[in-house]
Amino acid sequence: MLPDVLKLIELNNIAMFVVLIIFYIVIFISAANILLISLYEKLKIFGIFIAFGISYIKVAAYIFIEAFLIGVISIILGFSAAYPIVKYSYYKGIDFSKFFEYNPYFMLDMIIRPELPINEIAQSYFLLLVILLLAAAIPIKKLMTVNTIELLREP
Amino acid sequence: MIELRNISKIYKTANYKIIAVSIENLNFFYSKFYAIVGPSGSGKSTLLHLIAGLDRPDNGVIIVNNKNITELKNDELSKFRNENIGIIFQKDNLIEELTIVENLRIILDLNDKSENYKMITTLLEDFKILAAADKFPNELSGGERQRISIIRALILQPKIIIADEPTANLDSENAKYIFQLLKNIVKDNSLVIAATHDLIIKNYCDEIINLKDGKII
Repeated sequence: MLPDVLKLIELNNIAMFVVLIIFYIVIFISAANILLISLYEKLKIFGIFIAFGISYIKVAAYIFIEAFLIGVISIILGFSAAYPIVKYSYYKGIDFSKFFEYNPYFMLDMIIRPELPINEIAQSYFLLLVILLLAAAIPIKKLMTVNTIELLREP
Repeated sequence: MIELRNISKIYKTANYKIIAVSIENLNFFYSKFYAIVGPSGSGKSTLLHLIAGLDRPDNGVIIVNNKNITELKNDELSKFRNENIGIIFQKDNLIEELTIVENLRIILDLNDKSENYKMITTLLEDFKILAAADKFPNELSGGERQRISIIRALILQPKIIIADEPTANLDSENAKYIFQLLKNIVKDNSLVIAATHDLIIKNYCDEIINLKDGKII
């Protein structure tokens, strides 16, 4: 291939990588945010548990298990929804040719066939679970540091 | 026995410093029903929160059964409450998503005391509210919710019951009923401390502590 084309492909790969990282960050922050909202809404309930003498370790374990289960269920649902769509798209192909019909110099195939690379999917799911568990640590830190009465004053 | 020595609790804002509670010496003994009365803002709830270990004093010590609870860490305080104290809140703080039985069971489950399940039925019967067992809190009246709140405070069989305005949202008939229930608890060698505006409590309690501006008068 021509050096210019190689350069173009390399540039394209770098751009895709940056877009992917940004995409992951947005997804992970959104997921962590949803989990945090749900946990913060329950701070008063956790305060009630602590007021009735339930140990902090148990409440923290409860929060971690909830975060883990939410993560696992989200992954199962997300994968179940995405898998048939990706398989169908792979079989049928996504035709981009009409977007490029006036560009005769673009040499790549205009039919895109998306795949689910298991390694990358597993890595991103693992990372998602780690992010959710780290997010769960934020309300746990609050539980540990404030007086119980402040938890009971939560709306 | 509960002993309070030179305790104070101060709330600070940018411009103000409010002394919520300032008490030199106060003792509570078992087998007695104490009423803490006083106007709004007199420090009744703050005092109860300090005794229950839900909040910490800025100065002084609180000794419960010869143990200085002001020195305990959060987790130790939680264990202390587990073993000694039942709390009845002004807003009953029932979990709306759970039925009445589930509200009670969750406290037993998380304290590894599932063997006490049968107590739930007994207490619901004693408090004449067994029919509400499978209902959700929002299906109950204020008086019924408060009775459940009392049962929840009793379910771990504590010797000290702290009740913060237990009749605040109730009519006088229900208030009398709740005070009578609290009085009955005392017969079992327990100690009940209730903060209230409701002066009919004097017909039920053994001792009244008047608070004004955080001080005993």
